[in-house]
Amino acid sequence: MSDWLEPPEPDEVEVTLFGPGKGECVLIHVGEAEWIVVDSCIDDTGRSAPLNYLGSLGVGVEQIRLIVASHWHDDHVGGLAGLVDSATAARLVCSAALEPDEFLHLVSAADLRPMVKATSGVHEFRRVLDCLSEREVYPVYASADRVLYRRPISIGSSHCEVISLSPSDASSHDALQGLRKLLEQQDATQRTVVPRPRRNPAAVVLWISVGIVHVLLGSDLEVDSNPAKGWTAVLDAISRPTERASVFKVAHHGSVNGHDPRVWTDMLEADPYCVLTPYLSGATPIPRPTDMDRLVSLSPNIWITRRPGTPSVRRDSRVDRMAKEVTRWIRASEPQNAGVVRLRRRSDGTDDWRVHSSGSAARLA
Amino acid sequence: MSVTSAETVDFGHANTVWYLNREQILGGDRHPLAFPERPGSHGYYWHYVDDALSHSSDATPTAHELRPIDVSLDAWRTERSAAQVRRVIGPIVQPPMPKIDRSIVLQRWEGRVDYLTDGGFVARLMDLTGTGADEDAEFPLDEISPMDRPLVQEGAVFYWSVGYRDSASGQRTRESVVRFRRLPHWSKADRQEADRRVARWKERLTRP
Amino acid sequence: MPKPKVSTLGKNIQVLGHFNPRLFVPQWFADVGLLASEEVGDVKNEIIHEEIAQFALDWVSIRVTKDRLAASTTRVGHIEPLRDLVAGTLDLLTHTPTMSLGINHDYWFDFTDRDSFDAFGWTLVAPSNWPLMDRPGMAQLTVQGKRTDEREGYVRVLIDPQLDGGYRVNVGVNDHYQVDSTPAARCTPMIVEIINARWFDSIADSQALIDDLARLASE
Repeated sequence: MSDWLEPPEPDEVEVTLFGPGKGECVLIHVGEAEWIVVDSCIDDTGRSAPLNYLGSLGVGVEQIRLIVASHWHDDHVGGLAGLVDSATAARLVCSAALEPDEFLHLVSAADLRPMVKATSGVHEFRRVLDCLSEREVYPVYASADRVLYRRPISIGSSHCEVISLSPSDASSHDALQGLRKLLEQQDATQRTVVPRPRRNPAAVVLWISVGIVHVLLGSDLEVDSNPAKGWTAVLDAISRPTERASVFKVAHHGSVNGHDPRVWTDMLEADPYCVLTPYLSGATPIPRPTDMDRLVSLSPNIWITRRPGTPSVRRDSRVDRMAKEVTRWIRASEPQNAGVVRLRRRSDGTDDWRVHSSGSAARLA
Repeated sequence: MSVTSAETVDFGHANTVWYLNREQILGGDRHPLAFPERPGSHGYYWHYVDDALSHSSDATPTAHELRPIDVSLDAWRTERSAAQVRRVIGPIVQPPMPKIDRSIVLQRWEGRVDYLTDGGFVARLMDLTGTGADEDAEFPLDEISPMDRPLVQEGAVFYWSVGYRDSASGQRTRESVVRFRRLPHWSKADRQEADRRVARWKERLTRP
Repeated sequence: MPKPKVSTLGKNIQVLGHFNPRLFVPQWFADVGLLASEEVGDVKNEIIHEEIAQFALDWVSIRVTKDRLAASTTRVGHIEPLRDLVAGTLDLLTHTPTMSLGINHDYWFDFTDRDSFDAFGWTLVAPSNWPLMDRPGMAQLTVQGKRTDEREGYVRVLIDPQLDGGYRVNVGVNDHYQVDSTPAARCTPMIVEIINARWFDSIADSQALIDDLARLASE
């Protein structure tokens, strides 16, 4: 059995989820010392969580093959620019919904003398685009049924394939409309920062196969009444993988909006190993208690990087009192101590997933 | 420096004297002549206008035209004839520190409106005082000044501070101030810069 | 010695350059969206003149002369709006010739008694260095140092004791940036960029200086 600080064996698959912090991140070892990073986050020390972890394993950044930005919201891209800058051998993948000029204009305009303390997803993306244009390396744009990475079978090494299952064309169109609205708002009104959209039709769902082990990363994809969008579009796609995944990164932080029961019946093995991070911002943190009950009923192997609950902010009692008097509610949006959940298994499937967790991560039961 | 109040004092040389208000002296980047070279009695400090410069009696001397008097005014005056001394500026009076309202801010945040709710909005708050973590909160519109309510929209930036205000008379009140950010619209130059950046990206990032 | 009570008196931003004071009427600020129309209907101490324009709202005072634009506030909750007001003004007037920027932070040190008040002055300016004077005391002190970032300018601290019935010392930190070695057309955009990029660091750096002085005062 591999030790926590030992890198995985060449024939092992590893799925490690970090968060929540400034962002969340999934790190996948796809065998043969090759790594894929999906999204990005800053840990409690203020450094890139995936780079910190890889460094502690003695893994060099040159072993990162792909960096996938599954969408541009600020809870998924913390430290992305630094990661892209460091991992010069990696290709950047982002949603095809971000290819049109509208996204480039939004990102460009948003950074003009923002005079705000916090940067948002678009600010991070601006730095990413600057970095890529310096290198004259273009991003790979992910859309439904696109192969993003493939390692053929050869003697002594397992086959690996990374496929994006979304966004569908209809979802990309949706996303484009949303970008146009944001751009109009930037143009028409007094300077605002780009707000975090409530929905994310541009989300990139990934299917990763290493040997006979399959992993489904659900990103923030939600269900949609239009069968050409959301999870229905993924499930009904002709070229959807017919195998079943044994690991599922639960979509949309376990919310009911991200839950399509057919994902569980048609795409996942029985009792899959599931990982998720909570989303603690906004009026109602997710997953809610009802979401957790639903997840636990679907599998006994649910791991969360931090139990949702109202994080408290330690502060002067006078400030606390006054803040509560002024607002309807107020709560911390970024907890201290994020958690890590790591799963490892041999790519020939001859053993079961071994789970290791640290920080605030916990098993839901 | 400019003069807000003028008073003529006869020193026996038909000179005009200006009193400079201390608040004007404490305007920020301090001009060296605003601070006296030599303290006189009762905190008075003396400067004079170079008599080579011509001024009408109503003209306001500019800061660089003032020169400090290195010795007491009487000693200085006796060394010069009346003709040389066109004008004496002084004293620069130091009145007692004025009693002004004072704010004691306990915490400041910068806020970004995420979305609107019924009669309010939800915002992400970023701590500006280094005393706490970032937070989310819902604000009722009642807490927003009427003049700022048209600015409440998704993506709008605002500043929020809580603390106390001590009035000049010593009355303490609690204070919560929300003020929405006002910046000019993007200029034509801004848009052109944004377009140029996009053109650069497209040139280098287009699929081959 | 007991530590003095440190209060933030306010902040002000000063830009040296060439200005036309007549432009800076309160209504102009409202017309360009920098102030609310409702606010400019209630200005105080308004002077609009060829040589000087000044007015005050409840949270900010503005004064513009031919060679200086100055905005100040004593309301610490309004320091970012102050920053935005100056940066926004310069954003609109990018072709105005400018030379330097001062981001200035004003504090009060309030001592509880005469002894600790005097001791602070003697720590900074040792009386033993003035043997020919009878009970010498620091009337005022200015210390200037080079900037430690890559920008041109200096940092200047002015310490000004008051004896007006209390034991108070005004401490002003002048965070000064010189931009006139930049091509003229770039000076004002550079000042906006400095305000944007350095604002929080300037506050933090001045606070660190003040904390150091306060610690010195208590030793």
